[in-house]
Amino acid sequence: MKVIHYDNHFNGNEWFVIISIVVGLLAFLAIPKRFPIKVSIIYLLTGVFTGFFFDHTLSVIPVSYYDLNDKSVFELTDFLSHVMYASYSYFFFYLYDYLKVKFRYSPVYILIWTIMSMGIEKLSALVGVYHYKHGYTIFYSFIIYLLVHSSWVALYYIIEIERQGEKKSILLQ
Amino acid sequence: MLVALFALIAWMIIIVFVLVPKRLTVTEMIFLYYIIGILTVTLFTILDVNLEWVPVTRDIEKSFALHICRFIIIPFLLMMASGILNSPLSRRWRWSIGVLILILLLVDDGLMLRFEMITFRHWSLLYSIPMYTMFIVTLTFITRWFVRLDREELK
Repeated sequence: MKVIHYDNHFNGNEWFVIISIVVGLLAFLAIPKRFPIKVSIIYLLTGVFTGFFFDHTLSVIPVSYYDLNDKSVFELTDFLSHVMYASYSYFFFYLYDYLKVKFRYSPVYILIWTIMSMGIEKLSALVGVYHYKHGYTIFYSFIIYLLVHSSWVALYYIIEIERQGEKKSILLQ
Repeated sequence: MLVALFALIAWMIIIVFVLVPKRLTVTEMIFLYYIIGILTVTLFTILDVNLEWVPVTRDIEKSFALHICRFIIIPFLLMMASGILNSPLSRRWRWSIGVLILILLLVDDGLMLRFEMITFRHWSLLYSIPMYTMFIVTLTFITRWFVRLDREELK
């Protein structure tokens, strides 16, 4: 396999990933705790897993629609790029819960986050985190974000149902 | 054809997974699935893209079948193994079922190889044994840690 090198320097994309992780982590620590620790871990991992899932299905052969960071091979910065999504998904769930978004308004919430995600992706592409190939454009990501955020809302309700069940069983004891 | 075959295998695994008694909650299973996804995807990508020891197919249909293996069959088998190793069954039963699941994982690898979804360059099924054993053992400990998190929080 031919390895594509976009650049080899520690520059925009690495700084973007590091700053995103640090800012996300600080914000996570700063805001009041809202979920039990297990649920918080799930909400953090949701973003990481989603990143892994899509970046390792869409950015690998046979489709290979984009490369991440400096090289087409898997590097530490790629791994960190996925970790970067942890705080992003956490705040998605946090705000959904904090704002007490009603189910019928969830499509609006999903759309707002999708537009915001497109903006972040555009910025990431400008600093060199994403390198689109084979005709892929950011507009294809729009559909993916809609699907991803919809599945996250579904996940929120699955976890909430379990949490409510646990609360009931504690009250019955 | 190949996608249908692996979808059928995946569905059988899901049926077994649903029927097997589980001590883990939905949250714990989601956590475990995420961890398995992250660990396996990282390792398989390094083996394929970086080292080129286990390159994957370029064929679209085979690639879809491979995704079914890597996102359903392997994670669900590993989740079952981890759940059983953390169950109150006797040690003999736990490890016997663990070994059986390891064999199923190797059969899955064998099928992927047979249908040319993956190719072994500097790899063999023998190397898959310690790899999957490591996965099962690591996940068993991670699961144990995660299950106990609530108790620590209550303290």
